[in-house]
Amino acid sequence: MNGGAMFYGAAIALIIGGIMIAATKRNLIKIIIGLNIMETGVNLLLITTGYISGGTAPIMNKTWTKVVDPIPQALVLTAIVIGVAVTAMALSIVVRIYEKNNSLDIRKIKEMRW
Amino acid sequence: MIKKVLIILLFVLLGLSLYSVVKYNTFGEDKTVVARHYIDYGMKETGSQNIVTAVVVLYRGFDTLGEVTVLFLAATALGALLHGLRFKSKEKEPSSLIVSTAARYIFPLIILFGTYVFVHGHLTPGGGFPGGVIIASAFLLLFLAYTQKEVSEKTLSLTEGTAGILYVITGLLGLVMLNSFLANFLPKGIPGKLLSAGIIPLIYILIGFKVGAEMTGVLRNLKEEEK
Amino acid sequence: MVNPILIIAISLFGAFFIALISPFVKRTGKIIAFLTIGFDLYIGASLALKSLRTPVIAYTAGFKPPFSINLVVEPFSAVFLLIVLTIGFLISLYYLAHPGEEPEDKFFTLLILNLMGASGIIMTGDLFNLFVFFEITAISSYALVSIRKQKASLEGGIKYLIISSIGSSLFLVAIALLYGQTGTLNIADIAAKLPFINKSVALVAFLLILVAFFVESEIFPFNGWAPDAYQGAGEGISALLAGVISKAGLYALIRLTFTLLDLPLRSKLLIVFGIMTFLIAELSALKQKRVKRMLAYSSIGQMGLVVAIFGIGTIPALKAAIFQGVNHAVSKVALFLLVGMVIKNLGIYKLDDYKGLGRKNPLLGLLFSLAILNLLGFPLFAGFWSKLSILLSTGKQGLYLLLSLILTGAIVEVYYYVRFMKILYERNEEASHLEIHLLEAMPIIAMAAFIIIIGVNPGLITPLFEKASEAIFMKFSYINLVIGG
Repeated sequence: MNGGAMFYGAAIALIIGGIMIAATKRNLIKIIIGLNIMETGVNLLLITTGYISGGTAPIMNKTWTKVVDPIPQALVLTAIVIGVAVTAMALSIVVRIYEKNNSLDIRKIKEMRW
Repeated sequence: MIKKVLIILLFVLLGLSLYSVVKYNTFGEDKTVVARHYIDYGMKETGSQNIVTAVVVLYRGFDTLGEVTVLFLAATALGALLHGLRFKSKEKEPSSLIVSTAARYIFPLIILFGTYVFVHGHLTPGGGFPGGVIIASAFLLLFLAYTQKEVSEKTLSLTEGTAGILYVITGLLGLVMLNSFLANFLPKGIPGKLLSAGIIPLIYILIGFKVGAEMTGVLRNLKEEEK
Repeated sequence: MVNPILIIAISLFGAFFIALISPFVKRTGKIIAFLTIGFDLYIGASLALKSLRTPVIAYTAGFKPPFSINLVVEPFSAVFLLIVLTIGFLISLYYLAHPGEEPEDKFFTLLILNLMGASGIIMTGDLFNLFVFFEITAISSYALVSIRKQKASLEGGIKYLIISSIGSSLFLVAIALLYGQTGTLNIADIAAKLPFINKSVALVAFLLILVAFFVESEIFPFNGWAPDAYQGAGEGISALLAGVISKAGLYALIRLTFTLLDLPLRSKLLIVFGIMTFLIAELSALKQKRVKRMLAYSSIGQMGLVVAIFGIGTIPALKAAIFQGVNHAVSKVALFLLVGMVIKNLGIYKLDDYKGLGRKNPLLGLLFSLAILNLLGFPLFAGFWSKLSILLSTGKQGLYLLLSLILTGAIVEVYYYVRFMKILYERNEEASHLEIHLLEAMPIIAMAAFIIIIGVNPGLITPLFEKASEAIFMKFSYINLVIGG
């Protein structure tokens, strides 16, 4: 056990919760929300990995003493942008599905079995 | 059935990873060689006061090029998928006087702020991506306040395409001059000054324009289909 | 001077250029895509040739790894790069005479970026950069699959998106675990530090990576999306899925599990999941009434077989797996493109509608039979040599159970493909005549030529596979190459 348990736990809980939502919900919009929650969890996990106790943002002006790891921050920036792109992509497919089926329920969409 | 088993297995796997991180990862300790290098020498090597920016634009600049591509891809795909889509038109109510008057005054301020954020990416938190998104939000305000307002597709794709091509050319110039793609071929200057850090501000300005144009394009496409 | 970066830079240039001019000059995407991908192939081929003598490494941003991202082309990645770019080039050649999906300019932008992503996956030496390219490939694939906007394509697209997003998130979790332990993201650097990190973290990361890339390389039980995506996509895109996207996923799976996480468990897991996929998919293919879905299941089955053979892990087995992968890519791409031509002309999807088509259109029938016989491993075709080496390498390791399962699956495969050929050549007066555009048939004829030439003289290409399998087998040479150099 260490001080990070809470952060790691929250991150994994968000990932599991997100997958849960994506797997059990029938509404496509809710599934996409689940995927977004999962991505948030992954981002939290990455940031937590780079945390250094007492560190501040890695901007090098005169007053800093200790800074956190800059790499996970850069990775999360990329991961967030990718998450946005995937969400936009998913929503545009969903708009089209709604147009064709007049429903967002995956049970009502023919052939859509898992 | 298969799905249920799979999900349970997945949760076991994630649970295991939680256990192993909590048990074996040291939390809050300084531990990595690469990060140490960036923090100790980053400012000297790149001239950027903001180390995250130095990592994003130079050390891992190739990722950022990919990231810009992903956004471009999403905008293109959105345009392709929503192409020719027409829902039944609903009567749109014009927005209230307060919103439309306020939008007129706030719009230039938001644009100014967005520009400030992406120009100062190497000095303060922020950079091309947040700056571009702030600019797109100004356009969102415009779309909400004036329902008839249009941004021409030509302007957007010109901005987007030119910024993208200039980004690639900047990278190739590094390849030609210093034998390494996206290398910093401009003088580093004095860290902390606006004109420092070589190609970092240049790239962030390009990214700012590109992201702004792409996100505005996404909003425009989503607005279009409401017709 | 050839630099791997050029493939990425030129593709991006082409894609942005289409975006720049498409509002002003319509319908240029097709030609720009053809030229861009052709140029990529030229660079890729010269890189591959060069890498057989000395591996090529390129740094970005002027810093050495592990401080910056590097691209590596050594024989194993060179083979995959060649497969991906050649298939991509042939598909873009096919689209010169075949109508692309609407809106055309955007469609070809997506196609270029998809190939760029796949070549990026293959060349990159950095774990997170691999994730970025993986997402570029994945996002463009979702769009390419659903761009036809029919019910089936949208369904295939959204399923693919949901499953693949979960997979890529798991990959990110694995990256976080490995970064937390080793403090670096360079693949070779992680591999070098692996013996010193905690075993259980490494095991969990290994399993997460396995799941993430099983999704992309269509391995059971993570392949629920694949049949729908294949069926719903345009035929050129189904070919792209079979020849490019799944191959890039396969490369990442093999590279990461062999270099990064060399655990004893690896071989068992790959063999078990691979052979399971092979059998289940072949049995499902047997029941299909639609040609595209049948081909889709057969494609999944072949990926399973290749993964299982990779799992054996000896040099002859690796060689056989690479050879089979190449054969599968060539045959399946040819088949999908042929089906695309039939659908464009006649608009038929069902197996029974193909009755007598081969008899009426001799060229079509010939090309169909060549591709199928190659896939089945008929003697004197390229497929024969790869199937033979699979059986030999499996037998040599004494894996007789695996051998018999492979034979069982292969018999099922022979059954439904021969049934398909019988339908093609059945006597039917009402069979329609097909207009075959020569330019459209060109890529398929090229592949048929490849099948026959290699079939007669496999020695032309096997030395390449030999070098590739040595390169992946000896992980320390890869580590030395990147870190030591």
